[in-house]
Amino acid sequence: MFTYIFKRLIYSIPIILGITVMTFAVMFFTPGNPADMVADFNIKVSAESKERLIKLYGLDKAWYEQYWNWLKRVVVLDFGNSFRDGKPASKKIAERLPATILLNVLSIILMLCISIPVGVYSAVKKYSLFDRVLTAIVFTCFSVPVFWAALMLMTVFGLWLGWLPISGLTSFEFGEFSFFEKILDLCRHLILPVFVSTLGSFAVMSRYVRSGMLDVLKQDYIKTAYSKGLSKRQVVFNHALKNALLPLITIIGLSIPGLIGGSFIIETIFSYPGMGRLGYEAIMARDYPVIMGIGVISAFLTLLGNIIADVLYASADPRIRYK
Amino acid sequence: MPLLSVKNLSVEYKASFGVVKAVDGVSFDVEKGEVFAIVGRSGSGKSSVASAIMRLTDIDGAQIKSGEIFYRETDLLKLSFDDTRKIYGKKISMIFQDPQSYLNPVIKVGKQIEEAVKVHNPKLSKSEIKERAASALKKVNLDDMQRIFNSYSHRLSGGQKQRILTAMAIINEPEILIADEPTTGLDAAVQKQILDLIKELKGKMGLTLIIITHNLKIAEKHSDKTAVMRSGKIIECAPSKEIFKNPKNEYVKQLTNVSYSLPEQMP
Repeated sequence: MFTYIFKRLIYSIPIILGITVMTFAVMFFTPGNPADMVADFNIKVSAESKERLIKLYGLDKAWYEQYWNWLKRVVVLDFGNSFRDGKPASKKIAERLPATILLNVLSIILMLCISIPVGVYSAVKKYSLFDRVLTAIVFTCFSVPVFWAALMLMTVFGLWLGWLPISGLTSFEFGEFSFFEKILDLCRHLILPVFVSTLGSFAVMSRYVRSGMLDVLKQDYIKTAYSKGLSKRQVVFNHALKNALLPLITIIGLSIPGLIGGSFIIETIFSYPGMGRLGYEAIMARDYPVIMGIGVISAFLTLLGNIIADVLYASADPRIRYK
Repeated sequence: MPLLSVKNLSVEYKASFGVVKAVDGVSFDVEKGEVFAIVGRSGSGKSSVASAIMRLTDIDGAQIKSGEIFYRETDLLKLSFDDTRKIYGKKISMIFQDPQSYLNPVIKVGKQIEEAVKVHNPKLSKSEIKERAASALKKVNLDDMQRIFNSYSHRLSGGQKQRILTAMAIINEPEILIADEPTTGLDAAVQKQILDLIKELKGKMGLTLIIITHNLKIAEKHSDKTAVMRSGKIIECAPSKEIFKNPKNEYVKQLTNVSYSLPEQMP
């Protein structure tokens, strides 16, 4: 197992290099550059100062030179300073990453806590009233656009009822709160974003669990279990559940990029201080250091997440052993 | 009074093109200590009879339309699902065709065997359960107990799996053992071993056996009574000695002729 993990880590080095090349290439070939943003929209900026700006950022050098200079710094996690406010890009990302991970980990946990029981129950009670009602709810959740749901919930719970804050992660007075007030304040701010980002994935996941469970309940070893005299409950929980949940590990592994990258839509609507909004703002401003920093860090963490998912899968399913 | 009595049993499958009658008004009696064979070609409904006796038809998407299945005085089809749990695995057990897929792939074999003991003897201690599991494995001639206990099923051979499934089926010393094509999917040498094992167990434990097979040789050699099925109906049911020597039904005659013209080794 350890040799397998070690090998996977070694193999991921060329992938990471490839990712840096791609990230750089996309940025390099995208029309428009940060000097345009400063110069073209401001008639006071002369052509010379634009030239100076281009020199300062090193944008006049050949692409391989730019790439090499950038790569040398990336190795020590220095993505350069943001073009917008001069802060180091890595610091800006480090500020935003925890908020996004908090939001997404919470919504993944909530999603699993709801969709597994719901999926299992509607598989076991296939075509019952519960199953039908649930199917209807699930398809509604699935078809409602996230931005619409977010705005509606904000209107109802934030404006009409005034129960929940509608933006940000903390209140203005956050600094003065006691420890428990701080926790409470965070929770209140998290409720709507977490709920909205759970909505769509819950619908998909509960269908996965349901169909996985239905499939497993038809397997031959389920007949063996019943013919031993086990109850329905024992068959479902001891024999079927583990088999039905195995594929979820892969699906959760695939959701890791979203976990790190954050959601542009949800974070923007709720003014949530996460990676998604940082990325959106950086792209709009052609803030190269930040965009590339986000690209590289997300890619790196995604790779790591996939390796972890594979290792977990191997330890959960005895039929898979990596060499 | 027969130990198991099937009366006018009908089982239906819903297919895309309509309803398929897999079993159509089947009746037979199995006496205590008897070896009862149900033979027929694939699709004749013989496995569905076994499924109905074990109340496993739901899993295959089939439905028991009518009939009664008496185990002693109890009609198994009238019992609630929970009440049937006390009978299956303890009084009536089953081993299946093609052992490959009948063990749970993600649970250690040992745990699956112990579970079969535990469910009917919840008061036994861990060591007592282990003891019973060990003696059941010995009965099916599996020695390497420690290794088997800690293995997952994909690590075992087909013959080993069928022995384990047999061990699980007899672990609570049932009265009736249903063997549905117990040798399909195994190679010829192992087939003979498994058949010998089942017969040996029958002798030792006084089992009543229901063997379901497409293989007339097995039925003739090992059974006391044989029922021949065709498209969901029993077309002839008689003591095995008679039915193979001098079949009354034309179809059975044809079957036995085909069987005799085949070489000895055919499974």
